[in-house]
Amino acid sequence: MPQKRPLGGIKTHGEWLLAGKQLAKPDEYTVFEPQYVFLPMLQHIGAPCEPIVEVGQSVKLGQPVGDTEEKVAAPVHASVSGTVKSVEEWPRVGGGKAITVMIQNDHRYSVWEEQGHGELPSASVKDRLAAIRKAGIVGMGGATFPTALKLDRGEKEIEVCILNGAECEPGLSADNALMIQQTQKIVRGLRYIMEICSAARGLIGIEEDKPRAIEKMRRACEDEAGIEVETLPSIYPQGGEKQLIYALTGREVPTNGGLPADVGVVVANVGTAFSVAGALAHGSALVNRVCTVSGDVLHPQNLQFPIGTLVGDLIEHCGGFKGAPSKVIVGGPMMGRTIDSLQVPMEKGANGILVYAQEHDHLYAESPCIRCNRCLEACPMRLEPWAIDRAYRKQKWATCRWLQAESCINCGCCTYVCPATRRLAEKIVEAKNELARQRKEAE
Amino acid sequence: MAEFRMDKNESAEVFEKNKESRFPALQASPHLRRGSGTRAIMGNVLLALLPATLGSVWFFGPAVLPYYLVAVFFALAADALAQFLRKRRVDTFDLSPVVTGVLLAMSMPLGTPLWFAALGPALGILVAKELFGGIGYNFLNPALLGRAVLRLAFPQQMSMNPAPSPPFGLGQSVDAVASATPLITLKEGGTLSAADLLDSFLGMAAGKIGETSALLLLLGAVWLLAKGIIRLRIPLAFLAGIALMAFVFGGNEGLFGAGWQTVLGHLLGGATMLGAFFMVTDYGSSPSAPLAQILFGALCGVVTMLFRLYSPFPEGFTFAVLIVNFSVPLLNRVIRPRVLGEKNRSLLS
Ligand code: SF4
Ligand code: SF4
Repeated sequence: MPQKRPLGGIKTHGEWLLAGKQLAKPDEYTVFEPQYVFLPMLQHIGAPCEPIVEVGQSVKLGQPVGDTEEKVAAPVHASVSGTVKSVEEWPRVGGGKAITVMIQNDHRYSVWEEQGHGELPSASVKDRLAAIRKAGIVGMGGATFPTALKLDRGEKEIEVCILNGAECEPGLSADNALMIQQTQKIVRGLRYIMEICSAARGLIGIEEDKPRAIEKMRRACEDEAGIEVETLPSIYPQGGEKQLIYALTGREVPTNGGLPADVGVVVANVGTAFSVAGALAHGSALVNRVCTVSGDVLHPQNLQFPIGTLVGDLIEHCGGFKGAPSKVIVGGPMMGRTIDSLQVPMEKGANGILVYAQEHDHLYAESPCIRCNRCLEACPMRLEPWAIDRAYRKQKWATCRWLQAESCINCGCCTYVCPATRRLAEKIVEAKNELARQRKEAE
Repeated sequence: MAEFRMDKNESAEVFEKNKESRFPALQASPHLRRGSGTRAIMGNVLLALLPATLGSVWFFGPAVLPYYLVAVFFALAADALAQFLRKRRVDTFDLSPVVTGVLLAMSMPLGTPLWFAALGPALGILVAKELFGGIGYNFLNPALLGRAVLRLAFPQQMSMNPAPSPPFGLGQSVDAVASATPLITLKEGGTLSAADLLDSFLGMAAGKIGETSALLLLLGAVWLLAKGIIRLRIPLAFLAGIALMAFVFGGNEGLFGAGWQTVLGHLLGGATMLGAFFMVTDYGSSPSAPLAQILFGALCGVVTMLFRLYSPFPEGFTFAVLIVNFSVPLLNRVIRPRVLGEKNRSLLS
């Protein structure tokens, strides 16, 4: 049982929240093979990579196509084998553009020779971290922070490594499917992560609405010393890093830029652990991931796809739109980003596609805050969203700072519950960015 | 809507077209709302007031109805006037003026001139609410302000307490002269019998139109709690403040001399129940951090008792809460919840 009841948040079952958005087969995923992949040189938090292939060159699966010397970065690999058709600026999810390598798939999936070096059984921590970096692994829950850096504990003691098996957002089931289909590899990935951090304990936190995943994981962990599977209540945002740590260990990651490592914890998404297992056991690079395509498409399902597949291709594969589409989101309903073109690629951190048809999409007008306190009760960080919103709109930065606006994790719970349908999360994120900017300026 | 499958180009085209027409800009997350509006909340408050409202017709007869109608009408008119003056659109009608109107009608004694019922809500809404920037920005409770103004301007009429005469006012004739409410009895050094207390609980004691029946008000409170519209924190702190003060200072023979009848009399009498669940819980005029809410509730209770025990107003709830209301902006400024991961919270900004 978890140690602490989660603070705030929204119960995900029983809520009308996801009515009709559940998949028919949330425990499975199928494989999709696109004609083209578009690989942005920036799919992680940090510095962009430089393309290291040329137009017309043929590339193998797993061959690096972009890399950099910068510390905070992760290389990008060809996710199919084929021919490089172009290297040019291309739109990304969330607006903005990045240099993107476009590869035409030859459907042979011939693997890059230099890749498979087999297992690294006795490798040192340093070698393993290097292998993880070389494989281009980033946080696959959506945070996309380079995993090699995250696992590099430096001087800090890590006691617990936590695997995040609480789906990042309501309505997604990609992690669930991965846990059921790739149980062994995920546990192995966790073992590697524990070894790298020299942590004695491993915890896998899974929400209670995924009984099959819990059962399979439990069975796989029976003979694993030090690894336990914990059932978590189905409350969004249970998959938030700070929320997960609090629920499982009762520890609180310090505010003002504290890291999980400060309280002796490292958290990784199950997808990340899966990729780590692939990288360290087989030397394979991060080229595929699983996502949930749901909402108003004809056949909602979980799909494994080569990274860089276009959103439009995945929707097309799911039978196309059902009803006239009005909004397409990459990610989930609470934190996902709308896109204004179907020709944007799915990156390493893209865990879902959600389509709203016109009849399911509403525009919400803001009305005055009535100080009902619902936002405060829903906030998993225990902030006072209404007060930050008010202070931000009056540009009272000192008040925003006192109210800890910078601790907001942008989960969207406050906006979701507000009866006045105020765009709280949006404003608080703006306040947060402004405060961060001011802090940088002052330094 | 029929399901249809489009080929890739076609679906992309529809998407592009739609984007142009409805969503030219990228939207911020989240993309879902629970969608219960302000109006639904206020509607539920009205529903919760319904038992006591209907009860007042039973106790005092149809003569109370004009008070409700006039109060609600003028509350709405004042709200519309304010919206008009601020050039806001009136179509965001949220039922909150109706709540103010009903609460004010409930706190008038039967037999006062009807125009009191017009003046109270109008003043409450214009002064307490709109002058400070409208709903959510008011730190004074509009219903209480209207009530306080009436009390100060017309002390004689407003402190009448007719005795109920059920059914429908046809029982004993309504005695328009001030009869002894439980609180007045206590004030004059009397004691309450168990029968008096039962009267208070059921609503048979003398008092204002909608305040007499603790039972019916509690029914409404249960509804509000079940719907998650109010939390127990403020009412409990308030009632605890009242009970404690009544116990310590309420007795006739020095400190800690109060009997349980006195304590219960204070809890059931006057505006205590209406106040606990419908007035001190008012969103705008109460603070938001849990600790601040407890402080606020307790303070309301304590100051109410100070008025009851040591001032010439045995029903000093109105003034007490208005005074404590002034501390709300301060409480909100200095107390906030401890953020997850925060070590020592700085109390003062
Ligand atoms: S939920 Fe909305 S209306 Fe309620 S306090 Fe928060 S911002 Fe105000
Ligand atoms: S978006 Fe920020 S302020 Fe709103 S509930 Fe989430 S953490 Fe709290």
